[in-house]
Amino acid sequence: MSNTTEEQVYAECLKAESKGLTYSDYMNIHPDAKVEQIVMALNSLLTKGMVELFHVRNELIYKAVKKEDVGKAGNLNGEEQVVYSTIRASGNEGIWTKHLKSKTNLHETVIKRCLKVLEQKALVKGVKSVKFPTRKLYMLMELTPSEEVTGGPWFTDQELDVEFVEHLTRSCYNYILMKSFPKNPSVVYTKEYSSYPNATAVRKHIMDRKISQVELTVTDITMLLDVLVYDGKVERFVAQVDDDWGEDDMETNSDWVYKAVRDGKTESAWQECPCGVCPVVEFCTETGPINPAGCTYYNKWLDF
Amino acid sequence: MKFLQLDGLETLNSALAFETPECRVFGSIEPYSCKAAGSDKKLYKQIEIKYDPSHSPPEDDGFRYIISPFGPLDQAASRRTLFYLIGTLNASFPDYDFSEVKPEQFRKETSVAMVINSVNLTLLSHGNTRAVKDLRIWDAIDSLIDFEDSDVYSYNPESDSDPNDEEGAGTLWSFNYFFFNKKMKRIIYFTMRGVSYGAPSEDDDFSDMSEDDIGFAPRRRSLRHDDFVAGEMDML
Repeated sequence: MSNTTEEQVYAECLKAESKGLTYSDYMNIHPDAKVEQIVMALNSLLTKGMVELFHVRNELIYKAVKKEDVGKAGNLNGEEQVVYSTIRASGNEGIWTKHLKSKTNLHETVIKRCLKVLEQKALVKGVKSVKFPTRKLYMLMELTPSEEVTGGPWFTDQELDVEFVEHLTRSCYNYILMKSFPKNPSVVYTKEYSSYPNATAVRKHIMDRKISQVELTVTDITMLLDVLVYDGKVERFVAQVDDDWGEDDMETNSDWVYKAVRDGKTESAWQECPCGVCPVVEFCTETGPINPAGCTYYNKWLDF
Repeated sequence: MKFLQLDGLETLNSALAFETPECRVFGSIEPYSCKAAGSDKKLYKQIEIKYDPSHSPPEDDGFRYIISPFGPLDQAASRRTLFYLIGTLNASFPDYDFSEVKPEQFRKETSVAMVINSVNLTLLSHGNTRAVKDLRIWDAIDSLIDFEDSDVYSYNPESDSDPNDEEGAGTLWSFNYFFFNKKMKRIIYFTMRGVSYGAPSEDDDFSDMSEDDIGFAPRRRSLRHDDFVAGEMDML
């Protein structure tokens, strides 16, 4: 009899998926079930490692463990199980030993011992994060650390590969520059010109020329293009504005195209100040009819 | 490195945890012996491989690794000092691993007297005369390490490698000094930090806090099981 209850309980847990099943949930589904049988079933499932117990805000929630994970935690004792499931819950971000301590409420030495066992069984591994290089992080052996932890393509061995990033950014800029202005330096493209590259095009260029050894995604390239935009080297705008262009279209990144900036507008401070571009600057003296005190250009410029 | 349980430090350490109108101060004096324990073996190997030129391939530009606050790193004695200091940090902060810390993040202080002066200034400016005048911490430390024969090093990490400067902890300032007596094979690790009142303390309820807000309790280093772990390695 208890086997069927066990199977039922397990089935309900599976159905509940990541939401988990509470004792009252089960009672609602099977109002005629006996308390002792449910409790025994749950205990048995917990011991077999088929179900996990979570304690959330005074409630006990049971979640079914995925089939592949069931065998692994089988030979661990209670404390090791707790450490293992807490580490598993951190996914590919990993968890810091200090947080592991506070989440499990286990003593430092206990955790150290459990980690040793888990490492020996090749269930967990230590990883380093680029954000916190001295913290001791652990995650499940089979997971790949997330980009947060490794820093993505920009980091090699926990160090920001500045040369790589600069080289790539320069290559992107050169490509955009090439597509932004015609070979003849004294002319510019008309406003109908529509071959300004978008992020995908830049990425294709970079990958085709094998400028980067590492595989880069459009998101990675967009990060570099953003740097160019913020540095004022490149400007970005929406390629085509259709008649039905609305607020939502603003959000899609793929509509941005990039054009190199070459106006030289901000090349000299003299151009900012009225005197620099004043047509009568040579006649301007303190006592004459044209003088700094009564200068209309200054009045306009200073008139916020 | 092995933590030493020595008498007389209890009172000193409690005097180093105090409050001022601007901040809470937490300080601790921890003695360590230069006996490598447990994971130190792995650390020693790591350092040797990283900095010993006989380990690296000839094309490697070992030049940038040689100069360090501990002396030229192609000498075993310099590497050993680095090893002791990193080992001490690892022992004092069990949740951290300082093995990748670069030697440049340490500094050899000019003299014990200057360090004493600097620490006294900090204590005084925070209104604590008791530690120095009444409890005479320097006499106590001198009896443990013998200043005449000691070198002092400081650890000045980037904020991402600073165990005293965790996110949300509200640390305003901190220092880390190591009094190292080679003959005695001993290190006294003296650290102190000032924490703003805005930061959460151990009295707060942690259950609703995000990961990085976990409060910073005063560091009271009690004996831990691994301080007695067998399998020690005498490196000297």
